[in-house]
Amino acid sequence: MSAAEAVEMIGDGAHVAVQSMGTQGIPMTLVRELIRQRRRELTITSVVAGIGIDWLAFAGVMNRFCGPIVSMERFGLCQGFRQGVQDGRIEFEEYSETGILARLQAGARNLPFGITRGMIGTDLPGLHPDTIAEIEDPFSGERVLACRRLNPDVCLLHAHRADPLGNIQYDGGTIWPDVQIYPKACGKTIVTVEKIISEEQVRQRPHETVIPHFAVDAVVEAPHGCHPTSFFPDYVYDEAFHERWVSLSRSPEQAQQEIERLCGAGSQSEYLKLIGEDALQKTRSWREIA
Amino acid sequence: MSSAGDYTVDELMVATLARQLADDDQVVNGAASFIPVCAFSLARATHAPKLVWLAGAVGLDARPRRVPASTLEAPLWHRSSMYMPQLEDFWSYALNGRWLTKFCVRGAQIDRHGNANNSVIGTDYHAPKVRLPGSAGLGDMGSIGKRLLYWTTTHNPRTLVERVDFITCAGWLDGGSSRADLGLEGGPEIVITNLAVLDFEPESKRMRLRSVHPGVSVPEVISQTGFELVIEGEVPQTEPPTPQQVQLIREQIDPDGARRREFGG
Repeated sequence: MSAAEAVEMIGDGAHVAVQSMGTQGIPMTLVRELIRQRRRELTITSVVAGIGIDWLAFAGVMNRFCGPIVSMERFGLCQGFRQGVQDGRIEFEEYSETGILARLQAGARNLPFGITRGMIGTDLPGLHPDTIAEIEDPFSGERVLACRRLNPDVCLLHAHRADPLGNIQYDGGTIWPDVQIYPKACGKTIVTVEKIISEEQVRQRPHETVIPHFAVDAVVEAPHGCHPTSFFPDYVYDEAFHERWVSLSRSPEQAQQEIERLCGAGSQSEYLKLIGEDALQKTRSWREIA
Repeated sequence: MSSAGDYTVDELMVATLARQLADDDQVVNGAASFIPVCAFSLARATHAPKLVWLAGAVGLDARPRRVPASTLEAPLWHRSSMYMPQLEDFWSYALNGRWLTKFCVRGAQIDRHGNANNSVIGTDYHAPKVRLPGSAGLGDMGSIGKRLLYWTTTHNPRTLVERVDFITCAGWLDGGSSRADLGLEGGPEIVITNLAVLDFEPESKRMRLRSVHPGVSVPEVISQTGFELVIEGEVPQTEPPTPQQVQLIREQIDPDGARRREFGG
């Protein structure tokens, strides 16, 4: 399947969970496709949203973020997102990490709510009368927070490998919570992968399979599909790209031009040509500097 | 070898934070946490070789060759003994109560009772003057019994405020017994800034000046703080880093000076 066909499964106004850990692991091929297809009024959920959400904010694709943090870590705040929230165009439905994860875990297991001790004493629960409520443990009487189930319509992931059936393999374990929770909580799962391999190759290394094919609705081959973010252990973030973005994103006009230029690429290989092999190679050789 | 007195404030902050960590402590670092990561490495290289460190909440006992430009990315968790899955493993170990009992927090605002704000500047949450990055794990760490160690490189009245605009991380709340009344354990213990070291008066839970860094005066700290500090008697000077500590930081732990990313820019 192509990225364009996969993203056609997502309608305007959908709630989309996006794999993201700051400068790491964002399925940017699919993010660019959402922009190219001019989706509107999406709600985005991520654990640590990064540059992908900044593009979606600048491009007018999203009007709500539901999660704990939006930050490009060492590259600072996402200016398009931040301006959108300050201008009232984008709503930030803010939870702590255990808060959003409890909501998704309940959604994954078909339960009405999850619980957490996080957020007690903070101003976060007061923001969410419809999704967070203090309840009493029926056994001990202790007060905990109930976090209403969350079932986003679709999730976007990037993995190392898939077979034609849609069995999804990751290297380095399932470090990020997104990978473990989104396919179970979301209505549909779309996965880009570095490489499509045979079913027989998957059977030789079943311990690397972390999402079963029955939970996957679409697989798209997209080598270097997280660029400019990193994808451990294959490549790190593109430092120069992020620095250029930090500087461009101070001007909404320049930011939009840059997004249009990069989203204009009709395919992943065209996009990678825009970035250039030198830049890509630099991100692959991170072990030499670590 | 550096000579006595040859150090910069980032190195003093690293050494001061390192002194808060014991050999049997277990720590985890979050995003853009260069001072803590340097302090963990310094503690491990000196008085706390067994300090358990979960680098970027992923890499168990990582041994990066140097502090890299990001405290979340793979180069930091190089040569770890485990990659910790965050959903089940990290959060279960963190929430359990037995492990990972200290946590370093940097807030855009920190108030007199040790509450921290990383959410919004301004009184209307939905129309903020400045939208900050958001809670991440802070909204949890203040509420689940952790001993909180604060650091900030901007000791001024905009950072150290009477009352945070929004409580992202629960400190001593309204002071006194208000935190305990909610059943919360742990809480903020120390605040290490670019000017001074502060803690909390045990009864009122108001922030107290414990020492001023060499070259900084008490009146200067008072004028750079947005609320009235508790000051008890003569305020001593913060112990400066030793030449050995400075040498370790400069030559072994952080030769690229990643720690200085936290100052300006």
